[in-house]
Amino acid sequence: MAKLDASNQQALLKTVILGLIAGAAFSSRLFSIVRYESVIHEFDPWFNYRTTQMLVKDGFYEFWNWFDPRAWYPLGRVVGGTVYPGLMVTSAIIHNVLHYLHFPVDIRNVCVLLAPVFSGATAYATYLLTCEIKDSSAGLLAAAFIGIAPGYISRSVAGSYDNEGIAIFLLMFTFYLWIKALKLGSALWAAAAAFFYFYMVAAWGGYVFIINLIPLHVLVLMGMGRFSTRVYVSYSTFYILGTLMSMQIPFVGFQPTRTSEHMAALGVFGLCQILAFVELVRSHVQERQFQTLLRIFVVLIFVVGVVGLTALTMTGFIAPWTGRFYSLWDTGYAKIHIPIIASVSEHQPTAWPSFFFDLEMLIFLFPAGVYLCFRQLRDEHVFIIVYSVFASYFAGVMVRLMLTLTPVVCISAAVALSTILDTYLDFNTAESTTEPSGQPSASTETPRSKHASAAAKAAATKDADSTKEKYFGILNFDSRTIVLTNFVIFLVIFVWHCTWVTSNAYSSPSIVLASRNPDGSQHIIDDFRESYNWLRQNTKEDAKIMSWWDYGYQISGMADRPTLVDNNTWNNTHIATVGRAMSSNEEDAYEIMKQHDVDYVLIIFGGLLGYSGDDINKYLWMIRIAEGVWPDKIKESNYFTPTGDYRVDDKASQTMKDSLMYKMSYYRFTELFGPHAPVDRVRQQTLPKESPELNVLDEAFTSENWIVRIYKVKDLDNLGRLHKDVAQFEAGKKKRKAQRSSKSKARRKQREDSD
Amino acid sequence: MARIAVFLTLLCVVFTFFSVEVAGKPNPKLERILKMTRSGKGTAKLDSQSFVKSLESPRDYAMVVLLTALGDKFKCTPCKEFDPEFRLVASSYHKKNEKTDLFFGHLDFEDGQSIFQQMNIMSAPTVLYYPPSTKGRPSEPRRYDASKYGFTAEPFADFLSKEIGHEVPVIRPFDYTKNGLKVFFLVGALAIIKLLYTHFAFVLNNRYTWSVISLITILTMISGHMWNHIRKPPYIMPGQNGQINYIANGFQQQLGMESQVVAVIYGILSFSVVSLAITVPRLEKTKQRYAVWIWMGCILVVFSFLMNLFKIKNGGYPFKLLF
Repeated sequence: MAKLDASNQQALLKTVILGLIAGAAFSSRLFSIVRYESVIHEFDPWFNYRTTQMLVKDGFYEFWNWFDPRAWYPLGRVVGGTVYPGLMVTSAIIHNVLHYLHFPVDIRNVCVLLAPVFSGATAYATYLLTCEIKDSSAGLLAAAFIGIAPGYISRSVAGSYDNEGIAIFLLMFTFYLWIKALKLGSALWAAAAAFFYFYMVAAWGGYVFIINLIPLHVLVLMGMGRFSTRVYVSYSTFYILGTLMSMQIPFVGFQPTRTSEHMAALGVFGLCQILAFVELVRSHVQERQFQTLLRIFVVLIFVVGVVGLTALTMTGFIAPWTGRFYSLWDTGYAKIHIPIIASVSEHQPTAWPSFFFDLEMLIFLFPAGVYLCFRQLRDEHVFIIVYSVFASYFAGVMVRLMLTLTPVVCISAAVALSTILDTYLDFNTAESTTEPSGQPSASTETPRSKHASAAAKAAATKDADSTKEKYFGILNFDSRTIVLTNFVIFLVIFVWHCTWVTSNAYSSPSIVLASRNPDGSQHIIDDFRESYNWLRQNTKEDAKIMSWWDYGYQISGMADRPTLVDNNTWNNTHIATVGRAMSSNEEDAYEIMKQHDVDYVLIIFGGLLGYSGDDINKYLWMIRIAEGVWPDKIKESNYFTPTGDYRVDDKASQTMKDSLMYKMSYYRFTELFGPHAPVDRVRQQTLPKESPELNVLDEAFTSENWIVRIYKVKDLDNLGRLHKDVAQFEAGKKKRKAQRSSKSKARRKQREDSD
Repeated sequence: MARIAVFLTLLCVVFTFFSVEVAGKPNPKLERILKMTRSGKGTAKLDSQSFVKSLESPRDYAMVVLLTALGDKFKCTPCKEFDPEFRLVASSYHKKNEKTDLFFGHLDFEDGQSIFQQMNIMSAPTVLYYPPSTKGRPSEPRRYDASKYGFTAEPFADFLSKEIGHEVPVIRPFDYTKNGLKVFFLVGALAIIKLLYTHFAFVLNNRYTWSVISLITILTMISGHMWNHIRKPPYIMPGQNGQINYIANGFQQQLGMESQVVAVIYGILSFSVVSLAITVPRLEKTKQRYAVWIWMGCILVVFSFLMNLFKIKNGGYPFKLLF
């Protein structure tokens, strides 16, 4: 150490600290692996995993042209053209490089560990971005924050193999490159930003956030009168290259020129050209009349542009906002028009505890940091401010978008906290009482980097202009101690909080559940994998499985069987068909199932164990979605009791009791309880004593804890009878005969009539 | 299926039968409801007696009844919100021609307490739709779920159209005063802006204006304002034995008051942090000491309170600061 000079020491320290932060970020995401095993989590990751396997096995061109006939039976799905391939390509490349170097790593482990690895990269990208905003000490704090903030961990634990895992890194890095490009007015940095924007487009649908935020930043800069050649060069380069590259992704295609989501970027690009043209002409012409004329010309172009865009939108050449994005503005829209979007729990608005849960003390350092940005207000600070305001709005509307808010919260909070630490750890200013600087000067043993000192100088001159206050620094020793001690305690609690949240809330793979035995030891509930494995081993390879769309990806990933609907939710009618089959009575449902060649029906039932995420709790959404397509067949109100309650016990409505879902859930459930009254532990209701009768389905499999139940659809009766009649006939009841005689009587009568 | 079909054909038969009868000789029941509808401008005002009478079967018209409580002592805001909308649908339905297949009734709690008790109706407004009925087969009412579909006329009319089988229109009268006022205020506001712009432009160019706007936006958003906006929770809740609840149970729930308290807490904490970072180093020695103690104490106490509040929302939360 002693042999290194100060700047080298600093570089070494920074590298070590960043390495440690990356290590902490990586290891805090491993709870799920340590507790369970290295598995893919939840729902969407199973699809990503399946496509990655395919990509590794068959190569890129096969993947690009992949038509999957086993999903969305009988429609099939064009996978190559309807995915964001960034994630799969990334892990395939990592896998191939490792194999080239003779590390025989299984593709599953690459997929499981991808998100934790990228979280280390995110910490580094955040460090770089924060260095541009303030200085490297704030950068290190921001990196530490983003490394362990639960708001980001929630989407990037090991096994959560989803687009967001790499997308947040790309988001941060694109923003860093953009700020860099803007500061330097450099086409090279802007091209790099465009390239990473392209990578982001390839990886996540949330790229729309970038392509609206950067234009907005430019627009605000224009409004502040800060339009310059730097802005012009960087934005034009970024927009043109970024848009052209993003159009290479088949799933995106011509959207950047044809949908409303991208029109803000186009409009700002046009505005840039006009402003630049005006600047050019103004610098060459001096006559006043000409300038007036020019102004008229500019206004005209602007009006024509806006009218043109509106007209194109009205005539339908530019597609209006898609429902998903539109519901961010008109918050009541999805609930009425697109129940399938409203039904997803991560699309719900965010209550305040979630903010605190995900960000703890960062949430109140965040506004303080934004205020500090206002005090300096260079171009990059404007960016942070615009980002903060919009991301906090979006995070408020949708729980899921907490993910886009978290990085900017970490940056702002780091700015606030590092300002405090700078102030209270700065022992130099105690004597220099008249220094008029907003930024305490650098201490000797850690001289700042070039940017930071330039920034400090800029801030100092600005502050000298605006506020002619005296700056003393911290004069009392006790003041320093009390503030520093407290903030250190806060930081320690923050770390505890993050670890606690990560460990308790975000590390469950959701395909394997854990509970505690009476003696405190862990009990693993593995019903899902048990059942999917049963399907894989006991059914024909092309047996079609009908289930609610939530489980589609898991069935195709783990059981490798064709499904009717899955989490892609591209075809609302098809999903509504499944919803209708589930909510109709047996006869209607049988007809629908036969039409769709269904062999097995899979449902999730939590009544025995108290697993609340089961199908009966999701049932209302099935009914609603089905009602949206067949309002005359399915009516939501019929499933409620006359007093408007949703019940499954004796008081349940007749429609509810007749529905296929109800029957499948509670079929033979009473037998478990013997003479006692059966109790549904999720709904806390006592069920009727006799089990519902099921005629068109055979119970095929029920998992250990009854969470998964699989039914086989019966074949048509050999004699063309209804299954209900067959059952009654076999039970030896005479009723059937009477029915036949009445029928034949009617037939005879018909014959007579026709005569 | 078959039973429904039979029922439907029966209904049709009944319909044709009655329409013939109406054309032939006046039906006293129909006359009465028509009269009541006319006098109430499309909505028949009912009481316990006329409610029972106009719903007696057989009846060839459908009837939709709004059971409401408009009296001031009930403080039923949704009732007052929905009432004009209900009347709007009624008047638009009866405006064009004298249709006699659907009538609108309006029963206030004060006029028909006995009906409310008899039907065990606990909440208002309740909208019940009674399809036409034959003798001996009184029709089962269907409920319009206003809290789900909305308290405005359009979804209500959609519901009725579905039930009755043809379109129920909503004709909103053009409100001249309201729109006139809107235009007037808009022009006025523009004029004022134009007048004041030269004098107050510096406000718009001032960074403090913008910082206040941005910070207030951020604070309202991160304290769950959008949740309130979408879910519309009550401001406070009366609890058991009379005390008032300011905090909702459950992690994903909140009350209006609660999110405002949280916004204020975040505001105080942020302000204290900024003071410590910016104001304190610019103070003289003794003042500085006081300021540090005050702001730091403020942060400690308020932050402890915040963690405590969070512990109420999330029972298993293991951390706390001072208390």
